[in-house]
Amino acid sequence: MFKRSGSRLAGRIIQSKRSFHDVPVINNQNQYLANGIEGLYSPKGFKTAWIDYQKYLTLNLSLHTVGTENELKPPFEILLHTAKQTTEQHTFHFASQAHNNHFFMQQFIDKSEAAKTRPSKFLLQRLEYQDIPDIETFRERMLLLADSSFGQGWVFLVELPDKSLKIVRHNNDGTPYYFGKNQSLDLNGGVDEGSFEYLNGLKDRAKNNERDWTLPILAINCWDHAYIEDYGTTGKAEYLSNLWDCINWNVINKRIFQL
Amino acid sequence: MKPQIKALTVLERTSHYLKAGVLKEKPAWYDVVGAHPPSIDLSKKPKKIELNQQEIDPGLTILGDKQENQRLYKTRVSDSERKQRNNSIARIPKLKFLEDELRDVFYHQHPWEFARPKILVENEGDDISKLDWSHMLQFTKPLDGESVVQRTLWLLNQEIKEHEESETETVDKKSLLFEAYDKARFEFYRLRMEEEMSSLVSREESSMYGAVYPSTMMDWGVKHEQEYVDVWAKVAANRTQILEASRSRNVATSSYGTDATSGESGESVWETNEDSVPPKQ
Amino acid sequence: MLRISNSRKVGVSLNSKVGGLSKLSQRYLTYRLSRLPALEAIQSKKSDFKGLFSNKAINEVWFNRGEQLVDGLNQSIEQTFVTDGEHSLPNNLPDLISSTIHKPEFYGVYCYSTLLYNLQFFMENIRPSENSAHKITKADSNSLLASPLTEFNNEPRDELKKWINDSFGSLREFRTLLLNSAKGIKGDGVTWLVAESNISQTAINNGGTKSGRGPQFVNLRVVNTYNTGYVDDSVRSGQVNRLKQQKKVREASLKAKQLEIQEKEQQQQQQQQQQESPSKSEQSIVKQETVEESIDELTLGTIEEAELNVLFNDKKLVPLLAIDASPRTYLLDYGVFGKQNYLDNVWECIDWDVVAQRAPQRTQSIIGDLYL
Repeated sequence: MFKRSGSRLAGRIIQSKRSFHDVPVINNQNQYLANGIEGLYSPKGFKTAWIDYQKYLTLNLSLHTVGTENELKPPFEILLHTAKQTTEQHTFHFASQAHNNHFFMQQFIDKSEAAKTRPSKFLLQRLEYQDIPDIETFRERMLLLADSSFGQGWVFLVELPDKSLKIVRHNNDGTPYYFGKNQSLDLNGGVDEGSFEYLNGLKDRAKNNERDWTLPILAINCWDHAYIEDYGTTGKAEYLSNLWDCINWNVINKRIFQL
Repeated sequence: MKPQIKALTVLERTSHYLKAGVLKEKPAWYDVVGAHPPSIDLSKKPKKIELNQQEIDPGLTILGDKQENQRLYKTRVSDSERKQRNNSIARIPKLKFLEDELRDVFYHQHPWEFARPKILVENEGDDISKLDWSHMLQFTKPLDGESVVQRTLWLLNQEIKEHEESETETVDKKSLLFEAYDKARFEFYRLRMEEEMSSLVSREESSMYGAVYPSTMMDWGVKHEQEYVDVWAKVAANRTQILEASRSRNVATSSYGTDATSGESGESVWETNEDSVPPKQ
Repeated sequence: MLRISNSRKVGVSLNSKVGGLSKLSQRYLTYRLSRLPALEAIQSKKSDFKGLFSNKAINEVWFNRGEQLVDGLNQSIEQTFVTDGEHSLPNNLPDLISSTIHKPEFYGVYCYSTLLYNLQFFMENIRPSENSAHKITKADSNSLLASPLTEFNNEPRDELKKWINDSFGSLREFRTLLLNSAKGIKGDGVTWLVAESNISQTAINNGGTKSGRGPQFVNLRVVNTYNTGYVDDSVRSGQVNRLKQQKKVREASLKAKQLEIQEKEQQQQQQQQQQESPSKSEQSIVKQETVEESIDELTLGTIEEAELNVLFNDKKLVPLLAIDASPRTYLLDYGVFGKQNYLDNVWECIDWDVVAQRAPQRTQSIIGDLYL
């Protein structure tokens, strides 16, 4: 997902061909399309959440980047490139969503298979540093944050530059890679002092052109697209608890920085 | 085969060869050239200055013929004679396409469309020919003036086809073209409006969720404008000073006669006074 | 006075799904999902909402989600108003919203009530359409390439039409603006048609207009709100400003305190040394103030300042029409690619009579577009 979309020919020649963004293939995709992800998605639900939605995002990305410098970049690079551009926020939306959704979908596996995987000791140890003693508490914190927020968004477990872990909520198309576009606040209703101060802090950081080295470890998709087909508009809670049972921890364990 | 001089007879000769069996197969161009034989001789012929074919100067016949060997003959062609008379053959014909006219019209109406950068690299050189113009948006081509042109042509062809099928009385193709162009143009406007709105709404939406931007386009503009404002402020202050000086000198000269120095000193006192007053809110 | 409950409890608890019954004590007012006759009929007949929603979708979007919001609202009221039995709760949503928006402790109440209000407002201004041309079908990826529709049949009448024409130029332009605004929303959100008053709410509160006639409504506007946003600017806006001013006041008081302390110290010093003249410290204070007050007239302000002054003014906005552009409204019937189709259909289902009824008395502007 972080690679360039140029096809490599024999030898050292890299042929760059103009093309448009398309849906990447994930592991077991055909199997999921036929049978769904056991314990999480029906075939139809999987098709909406992955194939259709991803196609919607990548095709829109093509429409908005064709003929520009972003044309050949993968979504990850586009989202970094457009995050600070105020007139390119629609492009950012599709890039960020495409990247997040891909990142999200790679995490799952049939429930029976998922039961065989475990979070690594290393991960658990790191969680303990953040006062998350066991995996149950971790589950509760992640899912509660996902369920209690209003509207569309993402919940991430992220690794900060100092290698500590943190659970964060990014509203709408927020990205964990750049603090200015985290979108962790909700200023639509009343604004309290805490958010105001946090926003001022962000503005100062942005003014100083500070860089962000945060990396996501685990993502939870709270967009309607991810669950409406199988769980309906009111089934978010059920979807979230099912989702937890289908996480392939082998994937998550590999994402964390390890010496 | 000896060099062919008479290009016009190519058809004749080929049919001769065919009959004689020199050529076994009909060349691909044979039927076409047969249906539309070349009407002009395209070959360039040298100006003839052969002795026997030169015309006799009419003046000589009037004044009485001299001996044949006393006549004057041309040995060289003059400049005017060497000039190619058949200009229309030598000139490279102007290629005329409807597309070009449409492009011309569109970009004259929308000069700022030129300000959008354009990638000229193509995969195969005829990428545009593979597109389907039953819709204006394309996944592999940005929305621009060319989209309008191509879409206009598609709409026009569609219209003409419909008219042919319905076999109504012949319609004015020009009016059809205008109609198609306008249709495509307004489609283009709508799509541009949609994209612009999408961009604006996205930005507003994300800032409502706490997104911050280091600097906006407007900030950039204001910052750069400020640089010029600063420079101008100095220049303007200077010029105002000069203006005030010359004005008061005029006043001074009119009221105090030629005593310019007193006028200047009086003016400078007055101006420093004004400068020292801080701007009040 | 009010106990602040943990705001994280506001959401629906994870493991136990909330049923239809809510355990509310008698003291509190419980909110109910309002009964819209058109929708009730659809539910009892199990028919489609013609021209816009299938039966399944209307059940999901209105009945199930509405119930969930009402439950959430009642629950968070129970949680936040826990000790204060005397506290009277407004019995309509707009009042509840405006009384809770600026109080972080009522975050849950505010969110649920706005979501409910927005949903209800939208459902009230649409009606089933008899035009069979507009079908409820799932769109495929090619629909992304389609150019927007230009033909439409559903039009407002008389006064409202004229007002729209005067405000937006033409009905077609208005439709484009409205639907494009709705399409631009990526997450949850509502696009509104509002009547904008010519004076701010603060001006109204401070004794009304000079003529004493109250607010005048000259122009119509299209406004977007996102997520739990509330449409009326007089309620919503100026928050950042307010917080800024609060901060300024607090900083000023801190400074004043510091100055006091300094002065005291200096006085003590003076008392100790008794040689220095007291006027010096005053002079320095005066100097400081003048430095702060002088404003450079040649420097342009920041964009933020301009936005605060112009965009987020607290004008009273009267909503006339709402279009819910959140994904849940179109995903079920129109699929991932079908937002444009959904919006085109919404336009055909707008009940302009309701919209016209909601409109305040229009004030004809003599000077035309001076208010722009």
